[in-house]
Formats: sequence, C-alpha cells, structure tokens
Amino acid sequence: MTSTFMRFSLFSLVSATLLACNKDGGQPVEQACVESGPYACASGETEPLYPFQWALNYENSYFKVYPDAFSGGLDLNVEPVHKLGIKGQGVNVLVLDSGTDLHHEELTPNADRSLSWNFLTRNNDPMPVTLDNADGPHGTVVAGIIGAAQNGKGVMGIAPAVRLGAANVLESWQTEPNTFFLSYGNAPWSSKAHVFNASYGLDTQSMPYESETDQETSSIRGLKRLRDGKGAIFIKSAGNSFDLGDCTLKAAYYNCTNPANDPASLEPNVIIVAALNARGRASSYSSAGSVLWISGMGGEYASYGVYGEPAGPDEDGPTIFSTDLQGCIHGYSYIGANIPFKRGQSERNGIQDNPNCDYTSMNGTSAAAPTITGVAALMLSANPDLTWRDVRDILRLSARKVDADYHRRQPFNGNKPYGGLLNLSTNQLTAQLGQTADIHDGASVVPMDLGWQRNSAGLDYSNRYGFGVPDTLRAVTLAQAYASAPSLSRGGDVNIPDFAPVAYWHSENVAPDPDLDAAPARIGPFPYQRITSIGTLSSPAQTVDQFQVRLSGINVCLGSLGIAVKSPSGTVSLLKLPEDHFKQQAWDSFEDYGLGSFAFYGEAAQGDWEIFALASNPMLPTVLDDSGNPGNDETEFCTDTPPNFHFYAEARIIGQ
Amino acid sequence: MKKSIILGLILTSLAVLGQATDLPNPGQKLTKKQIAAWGDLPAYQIGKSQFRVLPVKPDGTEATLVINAQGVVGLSRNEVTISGLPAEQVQAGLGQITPQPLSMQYFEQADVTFARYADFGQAVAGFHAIQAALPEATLRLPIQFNRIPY
Repeated sequence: MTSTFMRFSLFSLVSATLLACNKDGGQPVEQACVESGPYACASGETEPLYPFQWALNYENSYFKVYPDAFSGGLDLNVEPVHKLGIKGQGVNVLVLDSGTDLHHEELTPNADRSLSWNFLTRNNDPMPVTLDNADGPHGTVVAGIIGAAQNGKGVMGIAPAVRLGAANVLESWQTEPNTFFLSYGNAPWSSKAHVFNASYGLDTQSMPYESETDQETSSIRGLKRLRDGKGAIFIKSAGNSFDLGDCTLKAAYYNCTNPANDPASLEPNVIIVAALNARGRASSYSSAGSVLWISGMGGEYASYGVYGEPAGPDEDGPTIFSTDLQGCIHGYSYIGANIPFKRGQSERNGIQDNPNCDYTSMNGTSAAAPTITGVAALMLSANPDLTWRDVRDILRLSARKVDADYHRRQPFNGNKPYGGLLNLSTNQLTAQLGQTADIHDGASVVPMDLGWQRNSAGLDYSNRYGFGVPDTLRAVTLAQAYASAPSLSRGGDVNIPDFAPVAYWHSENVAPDPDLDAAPARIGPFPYQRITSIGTLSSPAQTVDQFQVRLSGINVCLGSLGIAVKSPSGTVSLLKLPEDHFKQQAWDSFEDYGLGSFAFYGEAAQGDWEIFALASNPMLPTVLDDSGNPGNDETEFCTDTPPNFHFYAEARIIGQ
Repeated sequence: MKKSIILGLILTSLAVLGQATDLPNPGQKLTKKQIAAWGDLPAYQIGKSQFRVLPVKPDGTEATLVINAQGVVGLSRNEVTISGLPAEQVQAGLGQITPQPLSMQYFEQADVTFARYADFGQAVAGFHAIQAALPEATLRLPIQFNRIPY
C-alpha cells in the first residue's frame, strides 16, 4: 500500500460523500470525497480564470456565446473527478521542456525541486535561462495546464495537486551532454517521475529507427523500469504540421509530415497526443498519422477578440489558458502580444484579470499533451498500481469518438474532402471520396484519409484522432476498477521482435546488395504512379499492439512514396501518405526509416499482412489547385532521381 | 569597370565563404550546394549510414557536427554507448582495444556505459573495435538532430 493510498483512506473517513454523474449516461458513481482543506472536492470554479478553461468545463465556458468558434465541442469531463477530491495527489509529473518558472504563484505550491534539474545552471531550479518569447515560456505554460494549483488565483491545472518537476532539456541539449538520457529516468531527479510530459519533437526528417545511431529508443524503453517496474507514463505531442506550408498546398487537405518521422513516436510506451479545438474537431494544425493514440485539447490560434473568442475570417477560436513567465516583458503574455488578455489589458466586471501578464493561453499539440498528462495523473492518483500499459489501455477504453464523418468535410479554403482520392499519375487530389477498397495492387488512385474505421477487434481508430478523446470520469472509474480487480492489470512488456525482410526491389543496372538477399527480390523500375503490393509478412498467433514498417532506399523519391498495410482480417491503415514534405526537398535516400500503426490494435495477427507502396509521380510537383498549377513555383521535387535504385522494406508486429 | 569586377569577385568569394562557414544547426537540411561549399569532408560509415564531419563545432562544446546522407546536420558527442553487459566486463573488454576512450561513465540503473572519445573519427574507430571485442553488447554511437517545442 502506498502512502498516497493511506492518505486517501484517512481523508475518506472525514470527508463528505459526493455524487458524481457520468455525463455519457452511465450510472451515477457514489464515492466519498477524498480531499480536505479549503478547496476540498471543489471544482475549478474557485479560480477566477476558470470560465476560460473550456477543456475542464465546456458547458459553462465564457466562450459559449461565440457559437462560430465554440459549439459542438466537449471537455475532458474532469469536474466529476475533481468533485470526488481526486486531483493528482501523490503523483510526480516531470515536464521536459524549455524550462519552467516554478516560482509562479500557481506552480510553487506543487513544485518539487527534487524532481527538477536545470542543465545550464546545474541546480534544481528549472527556470529557463533563455527567456526569449518564442520558446522560453513554453514549459511554464505546459506545467500550468497539468498542475496549476487550486488556490483561488488565476487558472487550475487538470491535476492541481500533483507534485511538479521540470527540466530545461530543450534549451540545453546542444551544449550539455546526455540531457535526454538523463531526463528519461537515468538521473536521481528524473527517476522519481511517474508521468513525463514531452511537448516537443522533430517530424520533418527521416531519422533511422533502431539503428546504430539511435540512442533515444533504448532510453525510452528504459522508462518501463521506473515506478518499481510498473513503468513511467510518457506522453508526447503529435506535432503541428497539418498545414499548407511544407507541401505548398492551396488548402490543408492532408498532413504534410508524419508524427512517425520522430522515431520516439514509434515506441508503444509513448502516448502520442493530437489536438482538438473548441468545436470538437481536430485543431487545424494537429498532425495526423497512424501512431496517434489519443486526442487532448489544444484549441486554435486565438488571434482575435479580447481572449481569442471569435472565429474571425479563418475559422479561428480559443486556445488553452495557463500560467506564463511572470511579468509583461517575458512570456507569451507581454506588452506586444496580439490580444488584450495577453497584453495584460483585459478586464471583466471592471476588474483586470491579467494585470501582470502572469497568465496566458497557448495552442498546439504542446497544449494538448499536458491535458492528457493531467488525466493520466488523475488516474494514477486513483490507482497508483496501474502499469504503463494499463494507463494506455484505460485512455483508449475511456475515449469518445468525435467528428464522425470528418473525412467527408473540406478544409478551410478547400474544395475537396480530406478523404478525397489522389490521382497517382497527375498528383491531383480529386473531389471523389476514397475508401479502403481503393487500396489494391494496380490501382491508380489512393484515398488520403480513411476516416474512422472499426478494426476486427471492434475498436474505432482514426489517423486524425487516434482512439478519440478520453472521458476522465470514465478513466478514473476504470482505474479504480483495476484496483478492485487486479487481474485486469497488464504487467510485463509488449513483445518487440526483430524486423523481418519483406521486399527488396532494385533496378536492372545495379548489382544486388548481398546483405539484403533474405528479402524477396524484384528487379525493374520502381513502381511509381500506381499502388503496388510489395510484399507480405506472415504472423503466428498473437494479438497486435502495433504494426511497424522500416524502409531503406537509394534514389527512391521518398516524397512520392506512401505506405499502406492490410491485416489478415481486412483492416487497412495508411502509414505514410504520398506527396508529403519529403517531395519538396527531393529526399531520395533514407536508411531504417520507421513507420507504425495502431489501427490494428487488438486484432488477431495470425495470417498474411500485405504491404502496399502508394507511389505518385515523382516527376511532377504536387498539383492541387483547379488550374493545374503547382502551389509553389520554387518547389524542388524528384526530377533528377536517377534510374538506378535500391529499395528495401522490413516489417514486424509488436505483440501485446 | 575593373574595380567593380574585382569588388564583385571579392563579394562573391565572401558570400561563398560565408555560406560555407556559417555554423549550421542540428536538424537543418543543407542543400547540395551548401554541402559542396564545405569542400571535401571526411566521411565515416556506421552501420548503413554514412556521415561526413563538418570542420566546425557548436559554441562552447566539444561536440561534432556531422551531415548524414540526406544532408541533415546532426550532433555527436563522440560517444559510444555500450549496454547489455556488466560494467566490469565492459571495462575489461575495452582495456585491450584501440583507440582508447578519453573517459568512461557507467549508469548503473540503465546498465549503460558511455565511452567518450577525442573526436568523431576516434569514436567511429572505437565503435568498430568494441563491436569486435564485445560482440554480445548492444552499441550505439548517438547522433542527435533536433527537438523543437510543439
């Protein structure tokens, strides 16, 4: 029994019994209040900026009177949990970021210096040293979203009673040795963490996965040792690349990069979080891909109004309110900020509500990840014995499917649906909606999003939302159920086998690589402008956790190449889209480039898995406007890809 | 006229020089032209990957900047990590190889030894020597690219 559990038991003797109702129509849950003190079992209504915290209470939000930007959405359903007094007590959360101002009035009450490190000043105050207004405030905002105290001031975190630690990895890793290694549980301060928040990444490269130069993967796997072998929870942002820029698109029809480009995103013990806006849809920027696990709250851009309330001319809307670097010089709130709240000039009922610029709002999957970190902390507070696999499973089990037909919608300024077919010869996106049956050997079009799909294990999954948006009350109720029935818990590790060769394809004019002769070989031109079944992977009986593909190539246009996988039971997943940002950079060589998919989670693996190359025309730019003009005349694409090439594909099934 | 041509040549030369000697950042993708401006660079093979070493170092560090086959700049601390073997066995194995690391650090909880070398070339040579001496160990020569806030 942990000390946390004992404290809860004592609290329960003296606390009132409360009734919490499941918003989704579940049975009321009658439980004792497990908290004492002035804010015992009170929701965030005690905090003056709470009306702006729509992720915690959507129904009573200040933004409710702005339906263009704020309607049809949802919150994380944390209030019933707060009203039970479960607020993150006993849980250590480590914010790995740019540094964090733990002197802030909202963070000091929960700050734990023994859980913190400053790599630049070499002490346990993680205050950022680089106070530029671009990145300096980032970690302070993230920390507040997770664990701003309930104290009658400003905002409240989703888990307002956690112990908060922080480290300034993002401003120190270039100059200080082993920052990430030490931060991932290999230093005394980081080894105490129960939940890690990583609102960072790199999704614009094809970094090798599990290669001789990849140290991070083993460091992340090492996190499973923490918490006495139950494993730390590692929550990471998906990225903000669902935009037009990198692909020179006229409208954001599809995600131009891929969260899987960051090899850390491929590890099953990393929970990848997408962002939702206040209209209950994916935030316009939120990166999509088949390694997403769950969605949190990130909002839009808050470019207009006093608090970011109106939609404006471009489907904008509010973001996530939190703590900021103190004062009006440093931070996202400062004298030159774009909206009055962030300039310290807003007031309600004649009272200034951010006079010292100590609070701000932030968007991004950087904001969404800490909302899920907060939920995970509440779950661990309710049941400290949950393993990393339990937390991941419960997030999925509690998730709500949102935006059911999103693949039929069109993006802002666009005239084709997200799920439209791409013509692989002309590289033009069409208005015709695609479906899984379009993905077969010899096809000349490919759907760019398959929408929500139900796999053969009965689980709904989407490349935009992962398994959906967690319901915190349901998650905490499940966490408690696991405590009552420990047999529900899953200890141990997932089974990660070596990659197996699937295909080796090379041109006639090159000698075969003897190191690759284990793979079925094909000789001839690379199959651009069509879908090609490149190989199969046979699996014995097991249950799928994640399917992974790893690619190496020389003189192959990576930006033209998409990858899809079909399971023995017929589920199809898009692991990589053709016409992505690699095309613009004429990226034509890659080694051990990893991709993954959770769309098959829970399926029976036994049988043949088919892997498809979805290859567009490398000689043409991405042409998506009606006039047939490229989005950007300066585009550098694969016109000089030489005909002599090697292409090698491997795959594996990570088993549960 | 001649003066302006000479001035133009000088400016062009300075521009080319500037392009070559600007300190690139890890994660930055260099164009073929930018890479060519650095001239011949020493190249090393690690597994399937080839890296070229830039003749500049990030400010205030002994780290090495490398370029991978895609032209992306990475950062190496000239270290080899050795895992899967007890520290004593690693120490014994490393005692008989060349080149010798400048320093070694063992992290007990992770069961990882960091062997730091004088430069990248030595680290690559050390990597291959350790691979031969301790074939049962898992080796890495970490190259970091970038991490940005999302």
